[in-house]
Amino acid sequence: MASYLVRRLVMLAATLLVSSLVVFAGLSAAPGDPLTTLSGGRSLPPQTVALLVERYHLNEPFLVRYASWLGGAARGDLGVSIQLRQDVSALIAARAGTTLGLIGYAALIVVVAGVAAGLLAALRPGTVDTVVVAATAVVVAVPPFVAAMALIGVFAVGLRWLPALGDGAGLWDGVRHLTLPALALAAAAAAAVARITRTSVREELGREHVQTAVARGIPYAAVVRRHALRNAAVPIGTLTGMTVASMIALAAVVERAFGLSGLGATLVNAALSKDFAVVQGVSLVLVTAFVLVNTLVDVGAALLDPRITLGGRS
Amino acid sequence: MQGMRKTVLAATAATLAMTTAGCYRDTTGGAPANTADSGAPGGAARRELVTTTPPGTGRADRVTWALYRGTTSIDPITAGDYPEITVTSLMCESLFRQGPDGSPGPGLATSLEYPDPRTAVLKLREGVRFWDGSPMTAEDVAFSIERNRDPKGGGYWVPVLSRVTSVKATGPLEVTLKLSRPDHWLRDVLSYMPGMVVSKAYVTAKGKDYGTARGGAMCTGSYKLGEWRTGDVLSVVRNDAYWNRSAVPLTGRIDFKGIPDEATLTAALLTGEVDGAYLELPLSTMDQVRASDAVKVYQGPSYLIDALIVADLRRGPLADARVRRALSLAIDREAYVATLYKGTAQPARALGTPGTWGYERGTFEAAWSALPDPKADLETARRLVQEAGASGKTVTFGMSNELNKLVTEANLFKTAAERIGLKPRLKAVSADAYGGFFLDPKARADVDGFFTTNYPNWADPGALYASFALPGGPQDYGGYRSAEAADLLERARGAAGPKERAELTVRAQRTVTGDLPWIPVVAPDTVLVLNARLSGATVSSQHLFAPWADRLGAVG
Repeated sequence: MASYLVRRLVMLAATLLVSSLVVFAGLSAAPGDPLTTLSGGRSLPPQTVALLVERYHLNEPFLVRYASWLGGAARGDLGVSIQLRQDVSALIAARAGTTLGLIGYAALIVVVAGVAAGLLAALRPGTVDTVVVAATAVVVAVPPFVAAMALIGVFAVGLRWLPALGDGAGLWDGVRHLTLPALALAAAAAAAVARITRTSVREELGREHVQTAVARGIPYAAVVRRHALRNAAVPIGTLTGMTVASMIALAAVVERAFGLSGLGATLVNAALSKDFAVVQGVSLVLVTAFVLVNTLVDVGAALLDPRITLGGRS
Repeated sequence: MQGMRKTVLAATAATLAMTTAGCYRDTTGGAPANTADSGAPGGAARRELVTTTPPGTGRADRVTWALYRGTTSIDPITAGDYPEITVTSLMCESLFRQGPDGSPGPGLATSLEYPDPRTAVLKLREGVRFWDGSPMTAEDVAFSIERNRDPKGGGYWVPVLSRVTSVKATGPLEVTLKLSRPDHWLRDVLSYMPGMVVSKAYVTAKGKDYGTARGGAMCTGSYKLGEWRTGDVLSVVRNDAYWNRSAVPLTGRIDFKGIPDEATLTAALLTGEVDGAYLELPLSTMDQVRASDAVKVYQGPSYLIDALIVADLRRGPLADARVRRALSLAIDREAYVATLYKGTAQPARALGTPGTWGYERGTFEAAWSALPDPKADLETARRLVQEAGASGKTVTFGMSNELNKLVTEANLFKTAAERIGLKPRLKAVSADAYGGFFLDPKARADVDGFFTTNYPNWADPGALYASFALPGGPQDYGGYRSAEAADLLERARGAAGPKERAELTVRAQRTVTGDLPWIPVVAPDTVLVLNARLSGATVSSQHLFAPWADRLGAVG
């Protein structure tokens, strides 16, 4: 396990290095100019332009700029946002909580609602099963931005149950504000998890060891819990982990739709205004989170099923 | 004169949905306080425009206001786009103040005298205090103007103060400016961002951090900076020690939030999570907003002009003035207003639209009425194109598919060009790259024209004309050279009397409107959406330059 984690750590560092170079190169190649942001989009006297170009090293070759950014990042200095004239690390710290809360909340919904609906469908063939299958078939095809618009239309504008905008203040208000965004983010993933849960549990229930356990008179609830669900947990867990990882990217869409001040929305804004330092800093955080979630999924799967060996080469 | 570009403001509003043709409903909400003539003499439909909403009658604790994106700076020298200037105008006061109808008046200065043509003396108001209680001195004023003049400061307003050679405090309440040439636009230049006074001691202490979330700000206005979490909220709170006791605001706190998404903004306004917003871009959900009882929609005059900028007047089919005139004659402005603006704009005869007539209104109105009505006349247009020998030639318009307004406008011109025998081509770039047309001559070389929503920074059409008709002006994109127009505008700037200034400006306007270096399309209104429980905000371009929320409060 320890050697696996060390190897994962090395891989993380390599991934971060490569992705930061790719992001930097991509942003450099894309059309647009940080000078637009600095000048507020108006023409400035040549003297002022020269000053801004020098101050922000806009004329230096790509590799020189990348190297100086990398040097700073290695020392823990992620640079300064040209748009907000604010330290990137402070900027990330102020927004990470919202994104973390949003993804955590959405992951909770995916696990609880997805597994519950899937179990229900697996254990209650007939009407319940049909309803769950039909409903999840629809929801699984709804992308988060469509879900966001529908949820705002129904629950914020129509019924006025929940707020449509902003982060809220305090725990309870914060949870209220994150509910619709988390639902929008979780809907499709929860539906997918429900369908996988239903299939896996059905499959396990039909297997010999489960039949034997039932025949031996073990209470049905315990059979489901210990023999069916436990074995089904590996595919369910893997899918959940993958969808949570994908939420890290999808959060940007949802944050914008609900006016949340999170990392994703910041990344989009910064990319549009060519705010290199912010794009780089946020990308690093997101890539790290992605790798961490995937590692957790692998470790979790190994703990659940001793047949899986971590980092095996087979 | 430093007209600003609004099209790129929407770079982040890339998710705007395509507008569907909506029916035009001629309604403005609420009972207007000061009903101003819509200023559409000459037969255009008269609409009801108000410059302010009725003053609020009760206090309001907290109001949430939407901007199209979060505020990035509250330093007047780098505040140039809506999210910055709308907020800064509440906190910082300028030496002269623009009224809701565009008329100039005293501000932190009481007068500007010219003892000789090359000297301007500012007399300052007594008893003005910064938020921290310190008195505003002549040193603060001289320092604030000098910051704007300094090319090394990275500020936006260096060009507008180009005729000023020195600024000195010459008395406790007196500042003297030396000029290279007579400049009678100076008072107006000091009536928006370049004229805003900041505390010298505070700015010196904060250095580069001034105007950011870390450094904060120190001004004299009736609101002071509260909490500012970038990307989330910027709050301004009532300055209870405001020096002008008669203008202490009714609202205790205004929270500004950046909402780039149209659907989110609509939902937030309808549910009351956002109390008000000036709509900087036409809103495709306008009909839904108008139908709601929760909000009222007000339309007021504005300095805005929606126009096509000819990218280079020395090449391509549009180098010929006849082709430019033909294009102008062929566009269906009425349909554009109905489709995109849902009635919140009017066809424009010239770039200096009625909202910009801040002085000598009669002169400007007469000149406007004398210009031809911008009705589509395809027959004349076709003939002009044939005369110019431009039939079948390709005309390229720069646009971006990410911005609804640009898509609609580009198609308007495409249809017009097709109808008169030109071969239109649309060059689509990303919303971000669209800004390149304004900054980079190489980007302009790929197109024959591109679109702008522009405005002068004070109510004088001359301010906008000067930005592109004077060689080297801040908006000299197409290389328009008219010795006559340039001379008239220079003389207008140097003319002491408003009557003479207006007459010279109107003559310059006639030349520019004949030459069409920019093709005026429509004059958008200022559109304010305000919760029905509130009233008192102004409904004009004034909200970009002067305190607009002093009377904002509860009603009913």
